[in-house]
Order: sequence, then C-alpha cells, then structure tokens
Amino acid sequence: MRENLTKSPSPQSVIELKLPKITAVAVENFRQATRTSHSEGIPKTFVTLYRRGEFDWLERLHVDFHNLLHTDQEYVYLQPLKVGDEPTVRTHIVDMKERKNLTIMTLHSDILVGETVKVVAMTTFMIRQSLAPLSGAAE
Amino acid sequence: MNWTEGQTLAPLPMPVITREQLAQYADASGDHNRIHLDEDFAKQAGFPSVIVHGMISMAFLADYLSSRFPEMEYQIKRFKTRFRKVTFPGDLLVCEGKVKKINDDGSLVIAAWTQNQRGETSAEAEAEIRANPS
Repeated sequence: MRENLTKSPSPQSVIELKLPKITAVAVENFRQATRTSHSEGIPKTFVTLYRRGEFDWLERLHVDFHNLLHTDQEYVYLQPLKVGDEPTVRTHIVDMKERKNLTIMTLHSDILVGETVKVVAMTTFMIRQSLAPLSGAAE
Repeated sequence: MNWTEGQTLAPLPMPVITREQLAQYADASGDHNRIHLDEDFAKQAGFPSVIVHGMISMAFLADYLSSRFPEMEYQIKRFKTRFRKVTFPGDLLVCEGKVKKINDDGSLVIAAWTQNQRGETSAEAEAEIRANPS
C-alpha cells in the first residue's frame, strides 16, 4: 500500500462530483440515524453525505479499508445548505505524510451550490501499513 | 445569555449505540465501510467487533451544541472533531463541554467531548459559535 500511496496521482488533482439534491426525506433519515433531536434545520454533520469525493480518492489510491482510520474532521460553515440544493463537491489531497508505520492523509473538500462554496470540509485519515495494535485513536 | 470563559455546559447522555443504528447510519450517510457493518471484516482489521462510525460521535456532539446553543439564537461557524478512541456498539456516550474562550468579537470557542462508560474521552471537539444578530 505504501507503494500505491507514494505513486499517487498529483495531490493537486481534484475529484469533482455532482451530488443528489438534498431532500427532506434524506435529512429526516439522517436525523433519525444520528438520534438528532435538538437541531431544527439540516444537522451540522449532514454534509458527511458529501464524502463521496474522499472515498473516490481512497479507491483511486487502492487504500485497504482494513487499515483505514478516520481521525479528524473539520467543517467550516460559510452559508447554510437547504432542502432543494443540488451540491457539487470538489475534493483534493492537501497533505500526505509518512510516519513509522502510518500514512496520514488530509483531504480538503469544497461543497458548493452553483459556484458558491457553502461548506469547507477537512478530513484526516490514518492509514496503517500493517495491522499493528492500535495505540488509541479513532473511528 | 452571558457566557464566561471556563463555564461548563450541562452534560447530555446519548442513547446507547446499537448495531441497528450503524446500519441505519450507513444507509443515511452513504458510508458503508464494512468495518462498521461486517463483524469478520472488523476482526480482520484487528478490532474485537464492528466499530462505530466516528461521524456518529460527531453528530452527537453537534446535537449537543445545538441543545446548549439553540439555532434560533446561535450559529455554529466552525466545528472540528478528533476521534481519539474507538467506540463500539453498546457503548454509552455522554456529551460534555465548556466555554473555552470568548473572542474579542463576542464569538465563543466551545470545547466539547464525548465520554464513554469506561471513563475514556472518545472524541474531542472544538466549535466556534456566534450569536445571531438581534
């Protein structure tokens, strides 16, 4: 896997995907699945539906999902999303570091409606080079 | 409401996380990573069982923030979570938090975290929250 990652496509490459329209049903399903009861609008982490670009990157890099751990997630909310929006996500790799038995990869995603960026997402994955015992972290 | 730095937020216990919830979340979010759904796959990855999507913990924390900072009055502008410990089905998480800092512009930096029944902090978050203009 290390070989695959070091021979990865240019980190500047961007995966752009047109995503399904936000529907009231999708929002309600998400609210129920996350036991959300206090947020009145679209839940703040609903944008996790737009991680498809991240998964496409992981597949492109042939990452073995056995070794994958999600360690950090950050969202910056610039403008609210609403039911009826048809978002586009643009995802690129901003950083990839090799540590002892790990690769730490950070991806940046812009979630846009039209040409307006509504939410910025930063996702960090830890990719184990082997199934060494975990020292703590993560999903 | 007037907030002060260091002020603690009332904790919020969350419902127990079940395997059914993981399947429901996978369908709702599109995250069908087998490590959350397939016992054998999770064991091959070195875990004793399937593990909970980290994003469920983050969703719990988001709802916690909404409970303490109602959306009619406040907006979350930035929200970051670090997943520190693996969460398993059957775990009981309690959300806790405090006002970490009050910025010069009046916005709040909130530290929030989930604690499991083993006393471990499983996820740590930081959020920037602003009051809506009155």
